[in-house]
Amino acid sequence: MAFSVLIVDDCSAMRSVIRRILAISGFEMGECHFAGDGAEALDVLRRHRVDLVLSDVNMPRMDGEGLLRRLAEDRELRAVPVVIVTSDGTRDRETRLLGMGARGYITKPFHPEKLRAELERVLEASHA
Amino acid sequence: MLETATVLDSIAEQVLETMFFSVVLGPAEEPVDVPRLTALVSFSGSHAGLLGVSGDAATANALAANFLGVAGDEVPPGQEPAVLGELANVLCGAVLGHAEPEGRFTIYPPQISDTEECVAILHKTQIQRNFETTEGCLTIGLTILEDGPLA
Repeated sequence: MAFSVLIVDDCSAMRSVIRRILAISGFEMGECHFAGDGAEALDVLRRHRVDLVLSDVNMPRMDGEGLLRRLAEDRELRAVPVVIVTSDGTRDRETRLLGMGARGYITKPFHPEKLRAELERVLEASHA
Repeated sequence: MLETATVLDSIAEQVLETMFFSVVLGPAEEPVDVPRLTALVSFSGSHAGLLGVSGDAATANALAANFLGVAGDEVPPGQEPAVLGELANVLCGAVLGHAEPEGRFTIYPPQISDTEECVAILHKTQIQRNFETTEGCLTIGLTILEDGPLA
């Protein structure tokens, strides 16, 4: 089964490289959507079926925390799992974002295998 | 400070290899009299400070090409500064997460410039390392102050 993915990051180069790393990892990826911030991500999620969101934290307009808050308030979208992909490796930030509803947290840099394992864990838990 | 320098070496190698598809070949002499692109990332919180990365135009282009998975002449305009900024950002997050995992930090968006002023700021950092990579020479500088305002 191929999973549709939404990659949210304000840096277009980072969006591209995450998609590339996903492909290298062997993750079964179907459609891949992109958004430059949380607001754009919500727009994509309302127009497309997405199995998994990979989101950065620090973004202009609506950041990763804002996206998690909006998703938690939205009956139709709250079930979409979000994995935070960030360079912030402090435990305080990780605990806070997981407490806000993120299903996974992965810090850059990461090996393709580590990313794939985390996404598969999150998808499996979401479909359990 | 020696320990932090070792951590910086190890993290730079790991970041370049896993996310920038580059390999650190070893230490290098810092290039002189070469125009360079510099990305500076400052942070505040449990500690305040700055991390900077600098490389010449050819190195920045090769790094961007690697990162995007395209040939050097296919790198879209403006992507070299963006990729160097991302490198500085990822390095900064990884260094702080390693140095102070229980800390709280705000990492600010990278400031990227090709001015000598930015190279001078990089030269004032506490730790400077020059790496020969498969893409060219990169200079990385880091300052971590003992106290910073809480983020």
